[in-house]
Amino acid sequence: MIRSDRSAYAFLAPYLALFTVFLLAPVVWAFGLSLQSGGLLEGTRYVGLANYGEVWSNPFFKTALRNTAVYAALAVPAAMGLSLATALLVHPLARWWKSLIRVCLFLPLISSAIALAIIWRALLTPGQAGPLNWFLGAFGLPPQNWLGHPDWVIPAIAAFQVWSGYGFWVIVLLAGLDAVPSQLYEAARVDGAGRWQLFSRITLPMLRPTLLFLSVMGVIWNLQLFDAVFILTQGGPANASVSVVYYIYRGAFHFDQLGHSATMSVLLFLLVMGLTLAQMRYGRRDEDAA
Amino acid sequence: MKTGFGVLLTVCVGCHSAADEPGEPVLRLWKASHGETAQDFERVLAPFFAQHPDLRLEAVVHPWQGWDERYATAYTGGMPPDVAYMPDEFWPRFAAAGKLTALDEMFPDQIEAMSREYPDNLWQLGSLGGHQYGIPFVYVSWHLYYNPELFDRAGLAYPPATPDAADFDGWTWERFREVGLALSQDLDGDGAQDQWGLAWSTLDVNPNAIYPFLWQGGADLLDADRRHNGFAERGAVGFGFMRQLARDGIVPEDGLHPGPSELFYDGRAGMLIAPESTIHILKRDFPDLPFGAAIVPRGPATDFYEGRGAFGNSGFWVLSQDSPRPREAFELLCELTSSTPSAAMMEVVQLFGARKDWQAPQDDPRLETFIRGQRYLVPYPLHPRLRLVHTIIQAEVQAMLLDRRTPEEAVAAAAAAVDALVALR
Repeated sequence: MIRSDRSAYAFLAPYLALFTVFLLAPVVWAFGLSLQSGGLLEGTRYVGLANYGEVWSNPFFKTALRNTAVYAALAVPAAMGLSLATALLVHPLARWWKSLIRVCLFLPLISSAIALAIIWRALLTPGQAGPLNWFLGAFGLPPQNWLGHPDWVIPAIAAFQVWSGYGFWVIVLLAGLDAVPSQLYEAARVDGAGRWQLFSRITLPMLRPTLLFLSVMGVIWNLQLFDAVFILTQGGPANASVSVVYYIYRGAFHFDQLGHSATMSVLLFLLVMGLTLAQMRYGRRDEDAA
Repeated sequence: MKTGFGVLLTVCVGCHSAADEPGEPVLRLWKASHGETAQDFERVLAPFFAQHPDLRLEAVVHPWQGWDERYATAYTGGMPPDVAYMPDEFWPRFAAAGKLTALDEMFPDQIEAMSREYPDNLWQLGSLGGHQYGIPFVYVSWHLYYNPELFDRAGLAYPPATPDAADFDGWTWERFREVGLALSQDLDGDGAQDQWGLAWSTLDVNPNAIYPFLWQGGADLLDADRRHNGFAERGAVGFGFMRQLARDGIVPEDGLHPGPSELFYDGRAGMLIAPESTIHILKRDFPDLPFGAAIVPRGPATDFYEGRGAFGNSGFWVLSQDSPRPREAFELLCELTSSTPSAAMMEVVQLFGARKDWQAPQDDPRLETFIRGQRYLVPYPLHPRLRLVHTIIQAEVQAMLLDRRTPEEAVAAAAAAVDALVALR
């Protein structure tokens, strides 16, 4: 028995070593940094928990936190709804078509974020010359300054986030749909169930673990939003699109305030962990109830 | 278990770059790209390395994006380039943190001799706290481009190309606004404006087209002793003028267009504020676009660069404090900034050389505007946190253009934030 335990640890050791070096140690290190002030170039000094007190009085952090919450609130349900609809449409198709659509949907995930953002910048060009505005103009809608107006910049970036992660969501949901036993549908049809009943009584409950996984991952990804903001807007206009991670980055590398940035990182980590645990508990409670 | 860690360590050591070994005779040179490549440096510096066969050049030319994290981590991690190119708003932060060599302390005689090879104002921009950290390499000059076809169509006279032009004194903010209004039109009559006077935006990462209005109003970014903001008193004049341009529809999208230069390139904007290197970009990428160059207009200030402050700065070569071969690195720096190699690099990057003996190209008469306009160029005040001042001012100008603040409120908010920033320890 003892020998068997040892061999299990031996198999786990490579992962645990990498986990410790690349995940656990940086988290502990970040917590240590959050107790210091100063930056990369200027050096740091110990200030205890002072950064934690200061960060709550920082209006920019509050703006970044609010923006990030709005990004997640827009992007996660939109991605969930769109990808579920797409998966339901694609799932009954022939295998060849399904594979082709999977490849097409997956392309944005393996493309450079910079290239995608450049394409989106062009699509979102303000004025009537912008492709999206031209398209909306065909329906009589006025042109918008998507990346230059505070009312539109967050929805525009959230749309970019949805689009760039959409393929992954659809593929996971297609895998979830494949796992639903066809006998359940056959039995329900024999009992006279309609399409809506098949969806709401079989498909949706059977997809619950997949949807829970996607919602947890979606919230985590969107709370960590950085690259779209960095490439598309640099936080503008007037800080209207600053996300928490972009603000952390700017604080660490531009403002040379590593301690403050580490403090915000720790708070974001706690927020993400809290939300994830809450989502998982909520999902499990539903599963238990079912 | 021990064997596993041993293997991991071996792999890590194997991945370690040979150039990082302390005994390796390598001089590392980093520069953010102005269009040149590492091969250009290898070619231009080949004679130097032929004379120093014991040394090897490792030149890295990289994009500007991610500059801060690249350099901050390299200098903090103890693996900086021996020689690096840094503009004047970048290097003071590294000098203040003790990461750059005070060249006048280490090589006093050579630095004394070199100082005579550069105009005083450019040389001073490489100096902080009484020490010389940077050797000037290029200087950048921002003025006005215009589209003569659009001017002709609107029946407007071209703006003055040099201070000798007859209408130079009349080229004021008032005239600039009149011209901008005349150029801003709805050409197809569909009720939506499709041509603008000035391709300008506060969303550009670069604030160099925003500051001229501040300077022309008599304000500066920081005060003379660099301890406070320099715009609390007179900044509202420039802020107010920028808002006026937006409200008049002279600039696209109320000054919040994410890529305004494209409008000039497409022939849909009459004017553009840009550096001299734009001449070469326009000639290369937009050969059918007619364009001229002109001096920026005069604002109400008379005591600050005659009210015609335009952006100009300089880029410097600096030497790392942690270079394992400071003497050889300094020799490389001297070679790089000497007459022939620096002139050869200017031909590649199409920028203006900082040396007194640099000969401006004569191939395009429009360059004359940028050469004659040098007297109006306002450099950034040297301060370790200057780039954060940009972030603050840009955000407040944007808030004003969004009607969240009046010009006075925006100036007061920016001034308070800048004062807090420069006082920060």
